[in-house]
Amino acid sequence: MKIKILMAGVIVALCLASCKKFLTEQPYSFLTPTNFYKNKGDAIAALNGVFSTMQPQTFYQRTVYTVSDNASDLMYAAPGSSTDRNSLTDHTFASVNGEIGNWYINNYKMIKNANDVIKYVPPISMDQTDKANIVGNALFLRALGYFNLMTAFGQVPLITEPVTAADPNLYPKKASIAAIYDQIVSDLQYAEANCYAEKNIVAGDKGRVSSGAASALLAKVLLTRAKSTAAKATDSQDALTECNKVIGDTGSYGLLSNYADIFSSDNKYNKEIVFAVRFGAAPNVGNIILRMFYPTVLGGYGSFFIQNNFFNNGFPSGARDIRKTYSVSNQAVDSKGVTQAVTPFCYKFKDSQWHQDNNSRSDWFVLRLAEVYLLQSEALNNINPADPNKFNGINTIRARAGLNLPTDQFNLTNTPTSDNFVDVLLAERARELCGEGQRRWDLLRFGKLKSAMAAVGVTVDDNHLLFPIPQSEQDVNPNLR
Amino acid sequence: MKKEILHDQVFSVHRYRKLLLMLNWIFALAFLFCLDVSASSYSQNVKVSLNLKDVSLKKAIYTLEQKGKTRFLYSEQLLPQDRQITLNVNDVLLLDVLNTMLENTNLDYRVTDDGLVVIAPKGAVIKNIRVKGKVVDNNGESLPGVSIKVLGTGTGTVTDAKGQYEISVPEGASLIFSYIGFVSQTVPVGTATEINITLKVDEARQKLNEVVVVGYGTQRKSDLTGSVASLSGKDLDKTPVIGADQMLQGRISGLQLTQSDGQPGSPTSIRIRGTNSINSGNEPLYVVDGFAGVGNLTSINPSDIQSIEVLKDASATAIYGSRGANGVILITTKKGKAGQQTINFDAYSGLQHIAHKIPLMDATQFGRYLNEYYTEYNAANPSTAKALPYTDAQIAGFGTGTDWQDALYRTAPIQNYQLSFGGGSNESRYYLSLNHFDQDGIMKGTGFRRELVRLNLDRNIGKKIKMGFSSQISYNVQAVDPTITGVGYGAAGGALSMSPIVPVTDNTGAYTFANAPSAYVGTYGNPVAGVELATDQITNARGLINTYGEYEFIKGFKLKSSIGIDYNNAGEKSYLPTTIYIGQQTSGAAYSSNSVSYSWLNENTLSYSKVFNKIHAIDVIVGFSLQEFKTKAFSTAAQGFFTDNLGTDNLALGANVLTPQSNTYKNTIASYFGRVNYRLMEKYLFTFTMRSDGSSRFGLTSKWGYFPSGAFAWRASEEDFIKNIKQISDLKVRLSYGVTGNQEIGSYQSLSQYAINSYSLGTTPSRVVGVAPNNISNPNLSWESTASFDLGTDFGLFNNRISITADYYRKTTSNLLLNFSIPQSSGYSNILLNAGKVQNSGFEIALTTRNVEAKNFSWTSTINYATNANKVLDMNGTNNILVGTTGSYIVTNGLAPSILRIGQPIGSFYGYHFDGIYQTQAQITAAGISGVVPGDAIIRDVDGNKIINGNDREIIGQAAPKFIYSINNTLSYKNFDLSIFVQGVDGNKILNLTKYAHSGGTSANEYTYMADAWNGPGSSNTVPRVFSSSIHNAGVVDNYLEDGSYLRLQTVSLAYNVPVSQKSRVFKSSTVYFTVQNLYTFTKYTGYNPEINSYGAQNLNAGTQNLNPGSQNLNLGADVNSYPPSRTLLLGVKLGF
Repeated sequence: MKIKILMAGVIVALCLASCKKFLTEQPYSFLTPTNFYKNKGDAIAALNGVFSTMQPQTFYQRTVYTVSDNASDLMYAAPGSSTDRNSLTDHTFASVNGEIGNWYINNYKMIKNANDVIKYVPPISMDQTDKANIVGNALFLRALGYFNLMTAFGQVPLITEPVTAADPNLYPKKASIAAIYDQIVSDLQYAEANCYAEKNIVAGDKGRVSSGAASALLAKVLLTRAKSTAAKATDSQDALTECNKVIGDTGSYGLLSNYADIFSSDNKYNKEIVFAVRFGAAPNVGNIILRMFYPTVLGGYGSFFIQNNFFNNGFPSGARDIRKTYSVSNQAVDSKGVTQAVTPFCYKFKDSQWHQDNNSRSDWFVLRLAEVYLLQSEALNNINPADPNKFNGINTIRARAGLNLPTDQFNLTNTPTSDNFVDVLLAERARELCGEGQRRWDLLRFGKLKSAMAAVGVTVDDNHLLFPIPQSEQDVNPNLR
Repeated sequence: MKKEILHDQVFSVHRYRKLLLMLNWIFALAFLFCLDVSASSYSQNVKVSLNLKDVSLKKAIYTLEQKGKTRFLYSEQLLPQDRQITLNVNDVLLLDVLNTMLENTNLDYRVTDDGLVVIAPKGAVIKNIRVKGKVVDNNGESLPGVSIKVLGTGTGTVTDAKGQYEISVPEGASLIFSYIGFVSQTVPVGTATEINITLKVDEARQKLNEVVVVGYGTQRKSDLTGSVASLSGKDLDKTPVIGADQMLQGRISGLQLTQSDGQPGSPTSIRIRGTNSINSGNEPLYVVDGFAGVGNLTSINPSDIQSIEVLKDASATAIYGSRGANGVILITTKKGKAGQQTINFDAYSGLQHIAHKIPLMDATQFGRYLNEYYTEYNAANPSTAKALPYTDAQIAGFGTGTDWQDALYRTAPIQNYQLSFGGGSNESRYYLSLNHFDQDGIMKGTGFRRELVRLNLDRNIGKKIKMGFSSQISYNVQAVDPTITGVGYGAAGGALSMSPIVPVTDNTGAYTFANAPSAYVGTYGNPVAGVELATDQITNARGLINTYGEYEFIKGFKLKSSIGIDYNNAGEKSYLPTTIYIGQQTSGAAYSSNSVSYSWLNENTLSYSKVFNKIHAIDVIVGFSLQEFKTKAFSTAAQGFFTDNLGTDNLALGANVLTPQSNTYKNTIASYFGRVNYRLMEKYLFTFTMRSDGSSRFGLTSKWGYFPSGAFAWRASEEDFIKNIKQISDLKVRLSYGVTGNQEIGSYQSLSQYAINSYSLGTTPSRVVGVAPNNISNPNLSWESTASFDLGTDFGLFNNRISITADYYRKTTSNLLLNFSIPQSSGYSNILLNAGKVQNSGFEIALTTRNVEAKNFSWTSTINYATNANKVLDMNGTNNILVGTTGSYIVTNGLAPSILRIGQPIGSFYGYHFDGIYQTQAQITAAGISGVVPGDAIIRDVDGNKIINGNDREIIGQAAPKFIYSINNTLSYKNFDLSIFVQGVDGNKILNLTKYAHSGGTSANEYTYMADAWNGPGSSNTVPRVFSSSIHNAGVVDNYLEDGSYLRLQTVSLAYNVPVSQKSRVFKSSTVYFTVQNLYTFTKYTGYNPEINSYGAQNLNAGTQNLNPGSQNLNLGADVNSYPPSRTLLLGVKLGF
């Protein structure tokens, strides 16, 4: 009997000894800090992880234009389709608006992933140039996130390190506008200095942040700051310098002669693209942009339409402006080849392989060379409204759109004042960039949102110029109330 | 006491005159029967003292029997009436006294060897006769091993395996038939040579000695110190149920069952004594034949279940430690019985149909509604005005149009066949069952099928070794609505959304493709085409095997070891053809997944059981166990099919092969446990339990948790002062306190994880793989622990005609595994912490009354009633956490429908008050609210600042009921059994998102009441104008919060037990029955079913493998486009061979 009890005791003791191992969790299907950030491959994968946050519908597939073009005088959401969308059109949105929440949350997700790369890639032992490029890419994306947030919400929390459970940054206060700009500018300066020039990015890496992309975004940021309470005297001049760097890098960038070629999914990442959110690699990474913009006749959902005012009055040159016939339309050819009249819609993005649903391959353009030309004009007007060179950029863009008659071109005679210039610049930006998620921010930058919306019958009160911090965020963070 | 009864019986023989003629035989045959020598010597040696004066001989003999405590056998008529006795003796031998009394009569006496004193005429001879017969129970089943004794003697026999006996008895004597668990019967033999007996079950005693299954063993019910509810045998067999979990519905006080929808084969959600946890699992632990952690009961065959025990308080559940906090459900399957060979065949077949439809607009109403909507839209948006969708002439021609609910739902068959074999010998016993169950869903294209084989074997090897084996192999196929893309999005929602103006099929007979007219109504595919043309089948093959060996190495000491495996191979295959709307979107979509999950369990226990000095009974068990759960899963999908012919069977046909997914995860539990039961004098019962669990799921620093409990019970009915109260047949008071745990979070939650994602790079984009941080790690993550107190009583009155079990409990769950929302400026939405407290307290009562127990008629009622009050006590210092989601049904999807607030229950709906409708502009101006026009809803401005915003929200209702109850009546009249089962809940609210989705806007068909929407001052104060978005804009408004109280006539079942001749060589029993389930529901709720929890499936932690449970845990009481429940009519037969 004693032997049996002894044996039982031995079994128990054996188990005790092996229990610790038995209870240790072994991860099978995911990486942990113990087995990650060890080499260049890890660093690249982590950077891809930052880029990846841009692809969801709730960010650069849908929300980006829902909170910009849809909340401007260019587009409106299908009536009765969604309070989130309709209230943005109508400027009756509240802090509970889901799309506003998406814009806030996803920018911070991108910033969170970028912060991880910025902190954990530098200690990796690898080629210094590659490493600086990777960190530069992450810094650019972080800057983009903060720029998106600040233009939409104004003051927001500024977080530049990975947040841990015990971190005071878990419950941050809002940072000052000036501090956010400083961070964005310094991030972009690093990116500009350390990212590869576009011409040096290999074909398989197209879509990474280039030095030129950092310059272009920096130009836009500085021009936005120039109009803000945090303006610095040198902003416009600095912005001009950045624009010139991009336009001057002809090895990397160039305007396409045919406007339609820019948007074709068969001509991806062409020379006009400075930075885009990439879609279209099989499998799983198409987008719903076409579905949202196209009417049901073309297989879309008809979720957003072009405002009649813009469709009818936005292109005073009529069909001579390529963009009038290319970018917007009030008719569509159905699957039986019959042309049908439809509510005006944005027909800019095209994909020869798309039929229906969520799989269009179109990239989403964040920065395009044409815009840099327009930014250059804007900077010159800021610096010296009397400088006739300020028309070069805008006229180049108009000429490319087919408006190359002398009467089509702007000059100090037909556009004498700075305000006149701003009006034509904004109208030109609308024609060139409609449907590309710019309009609301353009109008805000120039303080023209209220008047522009009044033209489409929408009254905008002061509370609806900036978006409210999402209600869910206010609910959990007392420091934001 | 016993002796007195026997003694009384003695006198009942005296009317038999022939007795005395045969009396002499007793001397000749006595040696054959006499077993009790000491008794005979007793009657010969006992001395008595008597003082009698002029009493009759009858009285004198009676007095002598009393004084001498000795049994006499005689006939009264033989005693001379005239004889008077006067005696005064002191300490004289009894037989000498008797001798004196019988002097000068013609009577003599003899003493048999077993002490019976027989008084008979001198020289009389007693004849023995041979009596034979059969003993059966109420059901006509033969009873082997029944003890048969000749009254007043120690002699007797027992029935054989067929229940038959043969015995030789003195003519005129009586036989006592007794068998454990049955009422003993005494039958005078007379001169009969064949006596067949039907023994009745001794319910009172059986109840007392009833054995229930508890964790790691069994216990007499009377010895329980904890709160354990038990269902067994006839409770379970009464009416057919579709799933094993349904057996519990309404039959256990304090247990609430809800379903996420009416889809056949969908799991249900069970809460025992309320919701303990905010983010961790709240489902009880399921233990099948000792195998713990069996995910759910979908694949358990209800007909194989012998008993179900529900362990509720800490005394009962602490032995399951970290998994006991939500209660434990023990399932014991049937075993073969020694000496009985049975074959049973059960079958039923029936029909189901939709129990209740939602009143939606017909074609004419909807046409008018759309026109009204766009008329108002155009007035408000002149710059984007649209033509009205229909002309008046068109509307006039619409008629009623399509009833999409009628088109989608059908009368569906259901059938079940069960064949079982059971039996064996004392050495080995078997139970084998085969089951086929097939249920079509009332929604076209849906259904559930189950094939199952169970084999249970038990074997004794010698007297010391036992081994056993219980196993099942099952295969389930669940055909679900293939078009579901999220909670509420599917055919059920489609049928409520499609315009009634659209026909189901066009004039060629083909299905109409999608909703119309486009740009005026929501874009949906034809739901009937969806379920008919697409497929989605979820299959599960399961092997659940548990084996054990037990060795009693010293008397009382048993070593038991068990090893079990639960192996599941689950798969899903779905195909959306190009011919339906959502299939056309992707040119056909095929999906195939497979997951293999297994868990193994090894448990080793040492138990000791002994009674000391007759009053100290002790049961001790100690043990350790190891368990591992592992799942490997993969899925793959393809789109872009040029043909629909092969569906999921060849994914390579798809032009666009999507990224395959695979996943492996594992968790382990190691445990030590022990329990001591101590019983003092049958009155005082003590239980101490301790379990220590180590779980892989927790942080490195906190793997181990310790869960003790103690309990005391007092069987007051064993006390003399209560024994004397005849009305009280049973009274016990129980008291328990203990701590149990909850570990139901996903694996790896304490670790910092990097999740995989991807991006597109390159001139021609290709997929690059990315990695990103997915959570904030918490190395201190540990158990949730629930301290619970239970005070209960078991009370039996009038020979247990009335029995009551009542309990009060209070549970405090602390160190909640709290998925704590954090500002998303961190990039994360929440963090998993141990923080916070929740309290549940409640009162439960189960009352069983045997109202009538007549020969041909019996009526038994069981009433269960339970209250539970839930209260959040602490949440890591935060007073409010907004939780849950409404999907996009309330378009402000950033806004949660519920709140966790200190002092309030989990499941508190949080939103705005609806105060009617603004009738005039003057009213709006007076209110000072901007942004509304007449016809919009008045949302209460709670803070009075003239702005309607988040600060105007309040708690507007509770998802948890105030009380739940059920009443079960069982009536038997001759061969008929009638069972009527009613159950309900009271005092809860349901957020009717279905109503939200179908009230206003143009994306879906509308409730008919929308035809009466506000259209001018005074026209309505309940339904805003058609174009109003004032409610949808606000969020959760209380006019969509409905009273969820209901009383449901759940089951009515009438059975006829066809009389079977006892001589039948084929049939032993035969029953036919007719059952109606979900006959009628009394409720004010306007949706399909008040017993609903649309997001319930997300509240389950079934399978204990869920990687990320929790965040939806609190989405209680919402109903959104759910699959409606059916009313079921069944006709069945049960045959025993």
